[in-house]
Amino acid sequence: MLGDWAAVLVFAVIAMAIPLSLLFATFALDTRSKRRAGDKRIPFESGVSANEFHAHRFTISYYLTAMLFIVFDIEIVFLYPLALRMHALGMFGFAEMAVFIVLLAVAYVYVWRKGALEWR
Amino acid sequence: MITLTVTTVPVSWSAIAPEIVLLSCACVLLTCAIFLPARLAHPVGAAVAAGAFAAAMVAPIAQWHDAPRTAFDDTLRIDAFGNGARLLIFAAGLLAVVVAWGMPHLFDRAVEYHALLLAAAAGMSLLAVSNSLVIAFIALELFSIALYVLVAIDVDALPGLEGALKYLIVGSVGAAFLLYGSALVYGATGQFEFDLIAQSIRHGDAHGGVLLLGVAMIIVGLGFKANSAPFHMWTPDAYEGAPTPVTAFMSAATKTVALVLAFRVLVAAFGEDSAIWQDAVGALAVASFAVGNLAALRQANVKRMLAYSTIGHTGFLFTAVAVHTQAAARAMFYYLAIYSLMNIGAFALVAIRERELGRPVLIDDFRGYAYRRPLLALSMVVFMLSLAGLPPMGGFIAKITIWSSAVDGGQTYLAIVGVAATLVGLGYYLKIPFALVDRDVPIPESPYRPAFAVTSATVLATAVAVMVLGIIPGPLLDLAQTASASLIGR
Repeated sequence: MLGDWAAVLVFAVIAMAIPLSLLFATFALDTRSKRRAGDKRIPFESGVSANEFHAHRFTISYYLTAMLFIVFDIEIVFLYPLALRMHALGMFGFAEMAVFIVLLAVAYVYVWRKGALEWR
Repeated sequence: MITLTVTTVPVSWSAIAPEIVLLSCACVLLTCAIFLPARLAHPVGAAVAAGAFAAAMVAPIAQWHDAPRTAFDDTLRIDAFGNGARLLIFAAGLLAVVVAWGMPHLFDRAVEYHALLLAAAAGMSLLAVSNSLVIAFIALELFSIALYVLVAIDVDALPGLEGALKYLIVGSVGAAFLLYGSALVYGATGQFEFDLIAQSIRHGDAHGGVLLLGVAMIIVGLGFKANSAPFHMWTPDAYEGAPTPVTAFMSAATKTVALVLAFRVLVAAFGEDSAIWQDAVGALAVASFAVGNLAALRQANVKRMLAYSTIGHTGFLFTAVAVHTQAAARAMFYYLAIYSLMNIGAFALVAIRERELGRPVLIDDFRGYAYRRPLLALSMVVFMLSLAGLPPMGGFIAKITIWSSAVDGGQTYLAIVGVAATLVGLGYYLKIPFALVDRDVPIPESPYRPAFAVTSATVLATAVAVMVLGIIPGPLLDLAQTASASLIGR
């Protein structure tokens, strides 16, 4: 009866079910006591404390440095798998990675020259 | 331990030669020119960028008559259709470099401007020859991100920041639609490459509903990039806020590449199922005609008016996509070439006037201009008549070929709506020629700073080209014929 559209329906149902189940699980599996005071109000061992956030001020340098850190951090994520599979990939993998590192070096020279690495 | 066999794809250097040239020149600019003082950085940046664009044209021209071939495991298709689009993009880039030469406020970011222009052109060039939804998405993001930054490159100008933010948000939504649509098409057919998708559909392996949803989302995503109504919301603000050379480049190159991709993906991947998308694309064309032309009537700012006019032109280009015959591809190519020329010329003229006035240009600012700068005013008349589609300009032939392909292809209603849109278009395009010859305007007290010779020469050259290609359209139509034949046989 549904024919072709059954697949879309199944897809839509699953797509809806995942976020809804997560939302539902948050409430269903919440084991903290309902009376929240003191340390019970802050996230357990992780995350940013919601009540104190506004009191902090970050310098713009922090964001700049953090963002650049992520850019160069990705390099490591790519280098490790290459190191493991170096022999299988051979020259091809080496050349690919060389291009990647050269591009990162370009970015590095640029941000250095622009003074983005200075803490102001 | 798991042993993996790694298969590598044979590298075809000639297939990606333009991208290699453009991106290496961008890298050279970012690592070397950045050390130069601002006074030197601008000429060096402009020279490197112009050289890169000229060099990038070599490969497409050399491969022009080659038979279509695929490269990189079928993910790229090097044919005259893609190479023609590449040439248009590089020409637009070259003109954007020349127009920017007269923009003093770009001087302190000259290196970034030229490097981003090269990166954007590289992404567009890759998109023009992509034969896979994955490559298409990556290339689309490459040029989009470069353009988001280019729109805001004048960071002290609030309109530029506003335009860039709107472009970023709306453009990302468009990209998300394209990606989601690609994922659904992959789910339905199990293929990313356009020809393999078509094969899978032909064998009846595809799931109809999922495929339909995927195609719809891909059309929406492309609609955002081609600034077709109702996905045009970002266009006026981004075009108005961006520095004028960037607007010129965006309007010509982005439109070219979005339409070329739309034509390629719809014909190569879903060509035999045209019933599922033909009317949708036709509807987008009609909406673009209506929104673009009616909204442009009310604009006082010239850049905003031209932005709405580009939405109106998307209507003509989507007409060609909806018809999707070889004649339509040929008409679209001719249209894109003429459209790029006249739009860049018109925006370059706006840039000159902007520099003279030091503020955004209104239609009224062109009053009496013909008596002070007759040659530039004459060029503006050429551009406006061509945009409006009046003979003997290129825009006239472009519209005629689109209409005749629409009538031959059985989409007569699109030709009729197009004629109506053209009539409405006269209402705003002709405002400028009439303003130019207005005698009742006192000559302003403020001394006129001379227009930059290079930019003025560009304006005159594009105006002559628009007129000559309108009077002698044969050679360009022949080139368009070669390009269209390489995508659609017969």
